Amino acid sequence: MTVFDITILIGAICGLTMVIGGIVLLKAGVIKLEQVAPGPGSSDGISAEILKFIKIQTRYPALGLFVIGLVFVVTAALISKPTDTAAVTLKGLIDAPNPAAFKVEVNPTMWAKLSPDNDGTVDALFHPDVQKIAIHFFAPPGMDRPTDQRTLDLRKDRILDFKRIKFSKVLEEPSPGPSVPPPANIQNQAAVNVQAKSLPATIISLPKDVKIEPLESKKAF
Amino acid sequence: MKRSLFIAVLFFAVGWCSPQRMQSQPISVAFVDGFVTRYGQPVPGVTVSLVHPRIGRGAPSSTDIGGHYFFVNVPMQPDPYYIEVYWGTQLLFRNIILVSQPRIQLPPINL
Repeated sequence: MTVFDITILIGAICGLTMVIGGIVLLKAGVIKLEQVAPGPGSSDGISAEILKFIKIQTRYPALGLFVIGLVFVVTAALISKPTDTAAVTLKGLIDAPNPAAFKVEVNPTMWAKLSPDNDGTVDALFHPDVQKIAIHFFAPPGMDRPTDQRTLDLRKDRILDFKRIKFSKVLEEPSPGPSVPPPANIQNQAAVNVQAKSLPATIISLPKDVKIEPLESKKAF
Repeated sequence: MKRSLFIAVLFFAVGWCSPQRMQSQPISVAFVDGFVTRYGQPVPGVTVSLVHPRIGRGAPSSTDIGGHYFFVNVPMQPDPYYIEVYWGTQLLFRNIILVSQPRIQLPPINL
């Protein structure tokens, strides 16, 4: 949570406190709704204007607490609304047999390549180029290339159009290798495998006392 | 005299086994690489992963257009690693290898 978020939260809490406090004061009789300002131009009336769009006015001074509280709440809500001024549209076509299996990543291009000083200090000035965007395509297995990249300039209409990118399938999914029992001497076999000419397509079963982490587990190294 | 000698030996032993000393010993790591092929042709885009029963699983590597994969900073261990090849999430291959040298080029894996 940033300082900006905290400020908005405090504003909203203040607003709610004033509204609830106004209700409590009304109930206690400290303020009364019977007190009415004489006319629209009267200084006893309370008015509030939010960002020149919303104007709230009341001739009941007792409602002033509600009005001010409401201003806090509405202002907090308006400010916290996510802005879409920086939104960018990505368009294009992946021409491949299985386009849904692709992954697309959009990143800024590399902004700087720096060399630290001998003592490790990094102190450099660079100008980030936010107009150039890199689009990375990650193909599923068996395509003619596993990854590709396009670098596009961000136009005024904020549309990135990579047009059409073609991938061809060069390999169908092979069948899994046959399952074989673990070797009697795992240590020796592991050393032999490193020196072998090639490793055949087999799946060595795990010994009963061995458990290994699944593929999607947290990476240890 | 004997007491002073005993205290000196105790200090020396504690210093020798201190965590700082043990941490200062660098962990030996290896660079492991190889190729994945099918009928002699490279297989791009498959996931190759190293996993050790005690240490856990390392960051996987994807084969490039030439079927080449590599792992950096693999901790050298006296007992074997399992090397696996996945097509997406489908296991195609598993075998055992010993990572006991700083540079290991594995034989091609034929799918």
